[in-house]
Amino acid sequence: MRTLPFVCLLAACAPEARRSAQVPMLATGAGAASFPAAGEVEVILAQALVTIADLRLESPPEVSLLSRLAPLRSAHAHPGHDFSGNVACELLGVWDLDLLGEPLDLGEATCLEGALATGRVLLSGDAVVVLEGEAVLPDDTVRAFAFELPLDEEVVGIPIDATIDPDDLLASITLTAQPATMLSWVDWNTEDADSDDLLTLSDGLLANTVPFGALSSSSWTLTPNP
Amino acid sequence: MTCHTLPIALLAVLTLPPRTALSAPDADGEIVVEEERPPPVASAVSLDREEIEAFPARSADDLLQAMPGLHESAHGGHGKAYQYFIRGFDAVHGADLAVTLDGIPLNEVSNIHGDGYLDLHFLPTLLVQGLDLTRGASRPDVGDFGIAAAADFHLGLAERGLLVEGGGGTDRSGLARLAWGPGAEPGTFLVAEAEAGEGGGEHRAWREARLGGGVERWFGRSRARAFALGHLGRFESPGVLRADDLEAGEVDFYGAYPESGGGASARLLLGADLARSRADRGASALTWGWLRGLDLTRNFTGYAQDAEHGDGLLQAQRGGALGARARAWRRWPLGARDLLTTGGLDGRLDLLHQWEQAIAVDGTPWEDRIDATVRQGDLGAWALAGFDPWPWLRLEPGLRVEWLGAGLLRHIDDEGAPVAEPAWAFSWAPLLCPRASAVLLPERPLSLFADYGRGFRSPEARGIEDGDRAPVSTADTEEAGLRWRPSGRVELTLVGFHTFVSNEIIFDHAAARFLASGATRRVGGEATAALSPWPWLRTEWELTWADGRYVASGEALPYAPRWLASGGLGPHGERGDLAWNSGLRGWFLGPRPLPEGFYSRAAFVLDATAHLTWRHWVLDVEVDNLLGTHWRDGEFVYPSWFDRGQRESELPALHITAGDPFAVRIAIGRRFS
Repeated sequence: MRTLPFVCLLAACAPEARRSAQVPMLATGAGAASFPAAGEVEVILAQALVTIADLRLESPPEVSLLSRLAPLRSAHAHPGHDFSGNVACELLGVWDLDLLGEPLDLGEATCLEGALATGRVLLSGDAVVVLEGEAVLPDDTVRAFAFELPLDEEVVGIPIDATIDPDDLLASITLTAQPATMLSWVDWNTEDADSDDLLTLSDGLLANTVPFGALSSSSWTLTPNP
Repeated sequence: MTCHTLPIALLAVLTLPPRTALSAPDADGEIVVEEERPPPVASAVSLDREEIEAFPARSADDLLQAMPGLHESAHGGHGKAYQYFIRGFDAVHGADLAVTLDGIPLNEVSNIHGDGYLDLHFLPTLLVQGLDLTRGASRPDVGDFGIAAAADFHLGLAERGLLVEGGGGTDRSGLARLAWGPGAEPGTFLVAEAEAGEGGGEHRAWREARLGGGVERWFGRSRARAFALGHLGRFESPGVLRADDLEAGEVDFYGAYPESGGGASARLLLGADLARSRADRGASALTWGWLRGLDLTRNFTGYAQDAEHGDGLLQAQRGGALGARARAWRRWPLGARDLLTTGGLDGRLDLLHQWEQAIAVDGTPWEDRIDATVRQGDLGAWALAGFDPWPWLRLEPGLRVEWLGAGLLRHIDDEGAPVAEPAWAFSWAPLLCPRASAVLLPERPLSLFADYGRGFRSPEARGIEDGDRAPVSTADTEEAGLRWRPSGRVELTLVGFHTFVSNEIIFDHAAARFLASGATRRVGGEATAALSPWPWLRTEWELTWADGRYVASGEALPYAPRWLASGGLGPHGERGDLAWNSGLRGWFLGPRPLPEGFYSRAAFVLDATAHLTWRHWVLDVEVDNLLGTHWRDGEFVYPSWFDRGQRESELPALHITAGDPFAVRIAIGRRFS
């Protein structure tokens, strides 16, 4: 664009636009493979796999007010459901995460300068979450379990307290899944309805409680690493 | 002034608060203008036909850019209403800018696409005889949508005889025009225009036709006038482009995504007025009506909301409006000074049926979103008193009283299901809008001004609740300025303004509800200079700065320009049988705040126009974007998903609409007297 000198002068007085930065994202599982559960139950995980996709971090709700007023996007009455303009950090992709394995390098997220308040991640597929192992009850009864969850939902509202500053970048942000919390809603005394000596989603209310645990924001954390 | 300008003089007196005093007829029966009073506000600009001819304008919409501080964005392409920005306001498609045609309101209430929708494509620029532009809200005769500014087009065919003209341009356009003005009255005319083009890029084609006719007759001091204007248009719209796609070279700057839209527009406007004037009093009455049809298709987000069908929308409405207006003025002698009183009544009723459907890429509707019938009424009364308590002070206090009412009948609910027993919802609101102007040293070369006014905007009917008071947006504007006119060739104006909106009300089209976003404040200043250093040259220069923010948070209001500068040169003259009237105009738009902390790019554009006559021949030349810059007409920030081969991103992204490329259009015509 050809410009005249006074145009350049005035353009140089323009305020600086919101900057962006690339921030490395990691994902991992928390805790040991063996952990206590309610009712003096000891859970031993043999396998804990989660397929995650499209990680997004969001600005605080009050910052998104103006985005709701943008004339070309829809708006919603209540914060937290309004995706337009709220996303401030994003990493698109699909990853298979072994919660019992080493942390996984997801890649670099594109992040806009400013505060972050919440995050969300997509769990989508036929066997998105696979949790297998044994639960040892107080009377030493062993309940084998194998939960394979087909899901197509987001985990929303994962809290994070961080600021993206291109002049003082974070080393990384880590997404952590807590299998112990995911399974904390399971009633390990659930009747084996199909008598296959295996607790699955077809037994009792496990088809509700296990997905609830996997999608609960309390089962996930986002940690900025300075 | 001579006899043939008598109608023009009386026209100016009768259709606006009087600014020109008339004397009694002289011995030859001519009425001569004795005195020209300065306009009551510092921020008023008037263009006559000669100035309009020299202003680069492809349509009547473009002429509004003669208002200092106003910027337009034609991001919808050639045929959709422009987006307007002025004094820190993003007036969208006319929500804060009241525009009339000889008093006929042109803003469309509760338009399906945007409240106050202002589509001026029906008005041939050839029929714009004059244009009055006023910033602020201090004129009591300005009603709905007059929050930030007002404009009044004056209808008439200045040049008499028959003109036949045709031409084309490098933007792949063609034009044919016939204009016939028998007799001397500018209100007697017949104009027909047909225009078509492919535009300077992809998906920018348009076709339109205009037909207008008018009759004007004088009966002594009374003038009767009737006119009809018709318009049919069909257009494509290139839509938006993602800036990251542009930078990656995946789309050309003048390209378009396959999901872009377009539309069709039709209007028939009828008007009739009767005016009568004496030396010390006058009155006029106007009645008008229009029939209107509008279809708009758009897709600004690709597949972000619906991955299967796409986010295409069809917005349509059919309907009409009718109204009436009455004006009266009288001069009362009070010793050495007169008291001038002016008053008026305005009434309007709009009847609409509007609907919105989600459409697939091929245009097939797949979901009903809106289906509603609207009845909306507006009654206004105003009065103004102008007097000079001392020779050095002129005061013009005024008041406007308004009653706004809206009725809504929903045919489908929020889920798109038919409403079993539709019931009308009604809402209404009265308004009191004080307005005042003061001029210090009105007769001197240097005079000072101060104005105050409360402007308002009627609510969108689709958001009202039955029985509730209608949520009307109001804004209080104060401005002060000075005007220096040391001679007839130099005029300098400085104006400072402040606008306070107690509760910025935005209509959320997706949820069909009003969002009250809090108090806002806009401050700014304008400097203008109109110079005629030589008899053959006019020049105008303007510099405007405006800052709009939310009072509570201090956050900048998005989209409204901060800095806007414009200037123009207008060489004109005659030599023998050759006459020319030309204009070179440039404007600079500074970076604008956008949502999510983004800022738009600055833009600089230079346009030119020339009107030459030689004996019976006429040559019109228009040049768009003389420097051939890739300027961004509109810039927006939001997430979108146009490429389904990639995963969907929800990160807010910059989207742009391309400004017009370089183009030259030439039209040649012949006059038959």
